[in-house]
Amino acid sequence: MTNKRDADSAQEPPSLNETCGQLLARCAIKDQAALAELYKLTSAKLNGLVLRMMGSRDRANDVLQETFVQIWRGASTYRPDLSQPMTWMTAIARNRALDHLRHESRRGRILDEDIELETLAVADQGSSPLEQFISEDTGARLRECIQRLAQSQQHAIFLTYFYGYTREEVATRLNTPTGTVKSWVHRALQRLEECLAR
Amino acid sequence: MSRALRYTQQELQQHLARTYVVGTLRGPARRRFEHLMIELPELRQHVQRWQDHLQPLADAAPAETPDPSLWKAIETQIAPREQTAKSTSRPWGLPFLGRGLGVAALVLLGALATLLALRPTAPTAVDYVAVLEDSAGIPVAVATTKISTQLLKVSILRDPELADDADLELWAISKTDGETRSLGLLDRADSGERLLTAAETRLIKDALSLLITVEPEGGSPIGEPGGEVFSQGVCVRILGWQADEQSG
Repeated sequence: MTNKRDADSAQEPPSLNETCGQLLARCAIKDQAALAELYKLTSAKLNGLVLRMMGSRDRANDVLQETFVQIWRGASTYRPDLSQPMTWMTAIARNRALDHLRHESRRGRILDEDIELETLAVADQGSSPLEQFISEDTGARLRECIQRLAQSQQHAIFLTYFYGYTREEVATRLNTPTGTVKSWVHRALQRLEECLAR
Repeated sequence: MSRALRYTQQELQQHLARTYVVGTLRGPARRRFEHLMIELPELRQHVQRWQDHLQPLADAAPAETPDPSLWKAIETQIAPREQTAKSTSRPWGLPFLGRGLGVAALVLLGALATLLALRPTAPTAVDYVAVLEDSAGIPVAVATTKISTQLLKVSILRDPELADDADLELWAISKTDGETRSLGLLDRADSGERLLTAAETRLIKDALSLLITVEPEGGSPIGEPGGEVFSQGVCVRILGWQADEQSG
């Protein structure tokens, strides 16, 4: 029984997702070396997200630790037929972060200056510095759809997705009524859905 | 306002799923939604779709090196602890929680190492591995399968102390339809190797998890697990270890 996949991958190195899939399978059977490898490959990437949401490196560390512990403990529940490994791990990281943010508002928190400056750029300049990092191949469609949104809608999406702002916090940052922000987010998501479905 | 009344259940679900993934759904509403997700597969599908949609955004965040001490903290937290003899009954089907593995872990890791290591004369690469635990979450059996040779090997790590008229039977729980199907009886010896039929090999490939039950001699008379569960574990696919092994 020829394994075509093995023949193909002899030519090309495995993608990050392929490698992570294997590592998650090994984590499911408690191979700790696999988690160490997974950490090496993905911790900085996941930290990029977590740090921006938490706003401070101290808190990001706590969240990242919980993330990898949850990845380890939950690896046996990961279903390769349902999602890509990075998507699964990203969801864990973001959910951990949002869980931590549950009890905090930005005002009460001490935030790292570089992250704050980044969020100000989003708020004031109307686009995210992170937009430029949306991948040309995997993200082209998404980028196109985001660019069709009104500026205000883009602000709101970026501030919530990347920086963990609640709609109330977005309203404060953009000096707008909360109700208005709610409708920006609502419309933005609807339009994204329609655009991406095409 | 009247617009809201025109939402269908489906539209509402999609809306909540979007806000869940983007992160605007917070607090008690978020927790309620997470509970709903457990019960409603369509919600999980909407969420999955949105996670896929937005993944390029997630990938766009520049990487930031975490604190160098972080890995050590993770390692410490997941490290195996000594198990107490007390067995807590745990409902089947919950994800393995990674609690301390104790002494059994050392035996297990040894067994795995032997099974998966390169051997000088006859390297063995396996394709599917299942680590089966008892109700206390302790690994008690390891099953490996090599697809190209249709070879199944089951190592029993802890003596099941069977009565003379009892047998251990191996089952595969299907990913596709959730059904439980027999893979036959297990050798009472510590580790048995067996050639699988083509059909049995397909069961392994399709298996979400494997199950071992204690049945009357000759196996379950009813064609499905009837006896006490000895152990259960997820079955994962591991690509062959040897680069030069052309799977044929």
